Amino acid sequence: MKRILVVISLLISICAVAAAQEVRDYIGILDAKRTFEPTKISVEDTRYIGIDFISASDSIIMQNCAIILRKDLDFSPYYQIVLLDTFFMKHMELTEMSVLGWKRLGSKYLVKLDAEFPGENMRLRYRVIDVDNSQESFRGKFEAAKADYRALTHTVANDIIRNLTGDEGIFRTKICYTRKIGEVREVYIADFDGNNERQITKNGSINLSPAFDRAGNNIYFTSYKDGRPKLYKYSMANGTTDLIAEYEGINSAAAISPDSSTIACVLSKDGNAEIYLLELSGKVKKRLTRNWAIETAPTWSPDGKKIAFTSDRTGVPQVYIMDVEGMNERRVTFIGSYNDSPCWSPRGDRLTFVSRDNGFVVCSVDTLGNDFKILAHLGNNENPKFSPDGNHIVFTSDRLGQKDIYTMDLFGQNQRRMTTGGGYASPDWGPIKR
Amino acid sequence: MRTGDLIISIILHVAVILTFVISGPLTQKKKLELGDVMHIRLSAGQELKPQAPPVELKPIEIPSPIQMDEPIVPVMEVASKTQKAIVNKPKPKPKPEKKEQYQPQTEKGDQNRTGQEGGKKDISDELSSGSRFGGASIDNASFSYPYWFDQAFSKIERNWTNPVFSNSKIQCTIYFQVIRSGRIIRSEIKESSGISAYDRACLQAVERSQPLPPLPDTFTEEIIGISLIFPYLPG
Repeated sequence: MKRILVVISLLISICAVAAAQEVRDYIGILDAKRTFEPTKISVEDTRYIGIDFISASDSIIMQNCAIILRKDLDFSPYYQIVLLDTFFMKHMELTEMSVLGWKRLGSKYLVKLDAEFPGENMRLRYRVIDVDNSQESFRGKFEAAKADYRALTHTVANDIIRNLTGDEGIFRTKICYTRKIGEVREVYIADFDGNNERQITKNGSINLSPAFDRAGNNIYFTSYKDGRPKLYKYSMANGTTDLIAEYEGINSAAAISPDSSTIACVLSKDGNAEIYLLELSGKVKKRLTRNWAIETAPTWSPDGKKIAFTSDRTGVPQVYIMDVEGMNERRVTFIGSYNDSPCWSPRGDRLTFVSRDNGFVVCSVDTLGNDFKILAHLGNNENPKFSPDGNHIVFTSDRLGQKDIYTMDLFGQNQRRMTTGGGYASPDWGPIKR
Repeated sequence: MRTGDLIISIILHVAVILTFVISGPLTQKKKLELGDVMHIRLSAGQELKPQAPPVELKPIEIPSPIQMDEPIVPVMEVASKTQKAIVNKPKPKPKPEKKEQYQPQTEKGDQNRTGQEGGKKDISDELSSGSRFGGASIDNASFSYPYWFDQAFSKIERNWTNPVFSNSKIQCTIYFQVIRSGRIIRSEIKESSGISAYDRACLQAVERSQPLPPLPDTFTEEIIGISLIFPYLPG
């Protein structure tokens, strides 16, 4: 009889624990919404202030500078570009927009660009006018080789954002990703807006999960170039590739700690996939997870004290957080039967991840698992990664048929396609270089 | 087979069935309901291709000359100059309708916390028309940069979430100091609302806004101190 009671109490305990795992529920799900109106800002076409006649190619560069600056400022969730309204001008019988005209169109700030071309260089001067007060707020001047006019304009955009918000702009950051062409998947890098794409690996094999280190000097990735998945490091400075880890089984999903001293990655050398901490040389520092389930996709908190990861210990993948010693594990995703690919916001307050509903959607929660928000749900959306300022997310989506890279702001708005042609996966956003 | 084993077997079966019956409704998941159609903002204009036909040359406009003594800096470096316009000085804004404005307490040493000359100045009229703040004052009377107030207060407002519900009107005043780089070096609750959760949320709104926009170059002092009122209006 005693044995029966023990068995019954054991079963009841198991049942209670199982129920407690799933008892948490949410009343409704809200899409992310902005609670503020973005500030409206206008950029006038670039004026030429040189003395000599301007060439046709320089004229096109000048026009492109204004267009790039408009796109950059419009990319920020806090600003919205107001474009020149020709109907308005006709109605007002204006031949040229005045500050008052921009004010009537709703602009709060007006950016005036002046350019000149000393030698093979381009000098770009900007002034930001407070339209309400018709007062110049601040100004800046930059110069670069004419061929680098795109970088020059991004620098102007960064300076304007820094003066307006106090935050560093992300308009000169890079995004790395993989692209499949035929049977080969190689690592590429491009500007945040998809321009200046450059191929990083050329080994004719399968290369996966590229990840920047926090200084942006190296890209860590997993490659099958030697027949099985090993971890490599590509140096941006000298273009060399070094082997980091070749333990038996999987060596993948590298994530570099905020102080760039440690690699969190997934190894299966002891049986199933578990999360380990490695030194930069590849030597194992510590094994963090230890159970029968598959643990993968580690991502560091910005203070370097915690790691979020995916585990299927409940039978389905869910996102968990543990401290960097591998202790104090807790689950943070409770909605959806499949949650994977977490990424911790650089601000530290939220995690973005992929959840499976009818398709795969990009979602976010706070670090306690509350405030669940759906950010991208058109088509299948995967591999979300935060920008270094925490204001944007890069992800892949097949919403238009092919799998391309997209960006959006942290509210899920202003979604833009970054690449075309399909075959893209695993984007990672590089740091702001100072 | 012994009777005891049979009983154990029956009990185990019953227990397993019970487990499914009990845990079934609890584990039932709600179907995710996706929200409205997402609004996608179109990008701002099409960029011209370099191969595009040359555009028609327009007469060159000669704008006001650049001050050539300003150093030209490489593209990687930031060189901003804040300059107040001399011309087109706007007329002073009419005072907004009388709000319950914050009256600073006349405590000892409060008059000049940042050590600046000129004393405090009410800057409530610098708050934008839709602002949720109830008023503001600055220790440095000479700091008069509307764009800075607009952007700094907008950033704080974006980070302000109210965690409480109240039937009565309450307000909390936060005092903070900002140095040239825009970094907030000190923030404190100057006047409590009486509800600690509300006070904490107001203080966090300021702290989460770190850093604020850098102080304009033409402002010569090193630090400013601002008192900002966070009101709560029921309904």
